[in-house]
Amino acid sequence: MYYILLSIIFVPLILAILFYLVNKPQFNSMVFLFQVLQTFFVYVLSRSVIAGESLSYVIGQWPMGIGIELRLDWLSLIFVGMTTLGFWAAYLYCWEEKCRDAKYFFFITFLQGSLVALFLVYDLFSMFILLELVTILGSILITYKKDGYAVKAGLFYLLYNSFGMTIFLVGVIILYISSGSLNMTVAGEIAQGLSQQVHIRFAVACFFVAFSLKSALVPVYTWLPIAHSSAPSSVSALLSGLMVKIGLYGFMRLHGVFSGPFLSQSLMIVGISTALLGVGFAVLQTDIKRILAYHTISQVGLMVVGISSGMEKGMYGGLLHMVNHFAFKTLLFLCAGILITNTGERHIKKIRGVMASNPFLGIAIVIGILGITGAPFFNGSISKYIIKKSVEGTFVTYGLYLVNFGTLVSFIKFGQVLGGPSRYPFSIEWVKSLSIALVATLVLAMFPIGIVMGGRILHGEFFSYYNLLKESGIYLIMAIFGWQFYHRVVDREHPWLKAKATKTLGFQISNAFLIVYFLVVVIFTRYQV
Amino acid sequence: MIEITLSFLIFLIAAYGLIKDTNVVKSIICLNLLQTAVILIFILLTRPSGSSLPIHGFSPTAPVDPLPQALIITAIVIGASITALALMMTVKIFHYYGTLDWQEIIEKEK
Amino acid sequence: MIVRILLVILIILAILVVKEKNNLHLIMYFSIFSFTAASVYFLNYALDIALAEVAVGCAFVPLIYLITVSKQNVFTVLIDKEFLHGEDYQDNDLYKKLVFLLEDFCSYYTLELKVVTKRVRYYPTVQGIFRPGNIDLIVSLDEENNHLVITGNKSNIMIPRLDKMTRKYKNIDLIEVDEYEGLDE
Repeated sequence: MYYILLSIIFVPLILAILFYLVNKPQFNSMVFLFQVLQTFFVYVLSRSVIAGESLSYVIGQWPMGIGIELRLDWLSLIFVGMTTLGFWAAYLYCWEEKCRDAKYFFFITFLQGSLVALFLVYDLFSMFILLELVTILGSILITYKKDGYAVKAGLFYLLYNSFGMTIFLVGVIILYISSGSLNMTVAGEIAQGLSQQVHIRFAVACFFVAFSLKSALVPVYTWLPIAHSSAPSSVSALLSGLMVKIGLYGFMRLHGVFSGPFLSQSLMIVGISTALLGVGFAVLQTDIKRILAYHTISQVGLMVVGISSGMEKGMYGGLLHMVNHFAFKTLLFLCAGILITNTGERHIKKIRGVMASNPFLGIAIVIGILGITGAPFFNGSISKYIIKKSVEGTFVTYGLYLVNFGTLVSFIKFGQVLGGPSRYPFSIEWVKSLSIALVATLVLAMFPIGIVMGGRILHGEFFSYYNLLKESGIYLIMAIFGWQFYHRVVDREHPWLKAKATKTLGFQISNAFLIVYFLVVVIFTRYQV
Repeated sequence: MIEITLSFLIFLIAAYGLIKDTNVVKSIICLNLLQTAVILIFILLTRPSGSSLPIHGFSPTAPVDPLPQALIITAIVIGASITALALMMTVKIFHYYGTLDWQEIIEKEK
Repeated sequence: MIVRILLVILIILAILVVKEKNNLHLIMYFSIFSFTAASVYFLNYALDIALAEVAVGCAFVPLIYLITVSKQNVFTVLIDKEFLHGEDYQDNDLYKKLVFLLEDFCSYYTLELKVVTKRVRYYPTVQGIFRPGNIDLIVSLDEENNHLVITGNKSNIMIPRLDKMTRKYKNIDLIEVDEYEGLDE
């Protein structure tokens, strides 16, 4: 078992170097064989975790607490499984264009190895190194297109995330000096125990700021629309599906540190304002990939609302929403990539007639849209319902209803690509259609899994038919109202509002937001935690 | 104690430099200054735990903690590689846009 | 005591870096900063970190900054030799006017002019020529009207400035080629 854990980290890295040295196109098809092997290893590891015991090994057989520890419990297993499935979709999608390009496979296989390692290590400094590595590889992959827009996006992403990681390093240093160990359990306990001291609170503030920068919460979200909309499609899908959730993984690993009343309340405020702001911007955009990028921001806000609610069902709801969001956001980004490649347009009003010319693609887009808006009988509704249940009774529920309404309106706008006569021939190669079929099956399969999870989490109040009918009724009313709202209000041309919404904030303003956010969090945690 | 405050002042000055300027090369230099300031904070914080070199049997007083030194070398190298990558992207941006001003590059979109 | 003096020197250097505008001066200040920081590390019994900092901060990083900054003062112009009749294009009247104009332009913006001659084989789209060859401007001759046709990248900020300078000359036309966001691969 120990060797299997080591091999799911190191086999991708060695294979990446082999791809680069052996520069032949025929060798690149080894990536599929390797991915089958990786899936098999993850399956073998998952059997022992599902049986109830979590694996934990120290590299080099040093005593526990001194060496680098690899731990596979249920949280890591969910993320490692998501990584494997996401990379299957990415490899199948980009195979046709890039089968001769050995460097692309070098970078993307290396990224898979580092992501799997990031979700397995259990001490703070290894997490810092792997986070920097993931940032560097992500920015190289964003600029792979060699466009002007892509290079801008990559540079902004790299510099801004490096700033965040430097703040994370400050926190790691202070925790190490106070506790003498870098292990996450030990450091977390010391941080909880000594949380009256000023410098421990400063370290907690540093972690708070760094993780919220990695997952693009308000006010440090400005790197995400630029980066996700200028990257190649398979890389966009990976970024939105996996790498945005690294910050949330950090929040959940150190959740003992973040569960004081003040911090969880402020996290809830940050989460709900992120969700509202994301949806508000998404309704006014006209570029396909930017709509999807702003929706990523808003759904991440929903996950943060779930995690910070202080109740156990909120945590499980947020985690379920992470998996669901990974499934349908990957599907939507891959379909958007096919739309752009076939028509050469990115403006959403100029693409029409998908359902008429390629029903397979049309059905995939419909599944994605119904999933993300939370239609009944799709997986999105279950996780949104659990999150709603966990914040019941506070004013946050109204915010959640507003977010769902906004999501519906903007996806009605997105769904316009389906109608109309076919102007462009949408043709997909069979390998790409395999990847889309894989992710669509995942979306559909999450629904029964979601029902089983929902039953376990909410223990019976989940299955009351009155609540389920009420939720479906609300969805239908919102759909009809949203359609009318879209036609009367949003569809008109508001040039001033559109100019404000599509304007990108610059590097200086983003840094100013980050510094102000950091100082505010430090000053507030000085007085109460 | 006063030394740590001085290092934190370097951190704040470099952060202010990131906000105020609009030159890409200066942003990257300020990021390097930021990382050096953090490493300074680390070394000044671990100093009181000992007062001689971390070599076994070198002197009768207690040696400084050698673990942070390994971590810091890694952090320095990571900072250098990020600088190299960012400068490569800067060269490409200059060839496409003819300018190295953040406001011209990012805010003049589409 | 010595450590405090060195830290004050570091603060002064950081303030100088924030206030400076010339790129080459910044590299020098950064090297001195790195060296002073290495001496602070030395005085705190962290010898291997001092070695790493000197190697990285005084040798490797200023070298790559110098390479970057020195590539930024070059303005590359491609003369389309096929349209300018072989070897005697340098006597062409319009061409001399253009070279005079370009040298004026480059000395105003402190750039260095570099002239490249090559055959243009395909239509000058942004992806075709401008990117791989790192070229800023393409010059060719329109024979019927005896105009010089200059093609430039629209998102390059030097091209609108050049446009202002050439607007008063009737014999020189400036075409701006737009860059579309590439189809993602």
